[in-house]
Amino acid sequence: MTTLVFTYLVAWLFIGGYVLRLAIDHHRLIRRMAEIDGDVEATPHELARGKHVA
Amino acid sequence: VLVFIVAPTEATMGDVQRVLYLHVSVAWCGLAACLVMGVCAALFLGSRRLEWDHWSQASAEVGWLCATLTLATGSAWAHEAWGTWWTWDPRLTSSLILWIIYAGIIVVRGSIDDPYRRGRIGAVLAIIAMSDVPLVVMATRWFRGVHPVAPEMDPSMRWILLACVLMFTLMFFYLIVLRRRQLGFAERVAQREAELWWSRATANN
Repeated sequence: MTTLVFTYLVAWLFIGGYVLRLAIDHHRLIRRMAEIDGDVEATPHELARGKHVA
Repeated sequence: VLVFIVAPTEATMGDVQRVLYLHVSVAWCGLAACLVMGVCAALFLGSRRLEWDHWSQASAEVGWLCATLTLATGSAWAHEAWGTWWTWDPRLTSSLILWIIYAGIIVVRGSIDDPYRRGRIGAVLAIIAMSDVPLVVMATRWFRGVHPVAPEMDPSMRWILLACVLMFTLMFFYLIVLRRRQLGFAERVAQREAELWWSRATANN
């Protein structure tokens, strides 16, 4: 039972780590885009959707 | 919930057999991601559109994640079933080769700045990587080893396994979609940075 629980726990932590990495990267990209355009009014969602791309 | 509560306990191995539901699911997703990666790489080579390269890269990353989980869960299960963490069984060895190929593609991609050059080299490697998929699938039939081929199981176990495979496939496909979207966004940020640099350079001159 210990092996089973440990295996599932490690697997989900690993998947969770990847999702966390995606979230951190996404946040970093949004901040960078806002810095480039200097637009503080755009929401992160709009930035992510490419509102500032000419 | 299905795995821990609904699935019946296997008579010979006991609770540890429940690793099967995770192991088979991630192994399938790892192989499917390899095929997606290769097909998208071929489409990139044909069209030179970076969107296809982003699909290929996202699949490579998620595929590596699945291949790592396949080896880790398989190793934990092998320790209980065979009394060893690792053996050079054909299925295990071909799975390790797939993991190394995924890791190699990610490292090579990370070392190239130009997106089109990165896409071209990554695409060639991804197409080569696809050749390992039939080897992994057929390893238990073509070569003699200790890994089971397709063991008989209770119908309730089979349904739960099918449900797990479906759920993990959907989850990992969603992760690929998210990552692809992020790579597209990163490309746009890089373009904006380049435009900004260019406009500043021309203004200074």
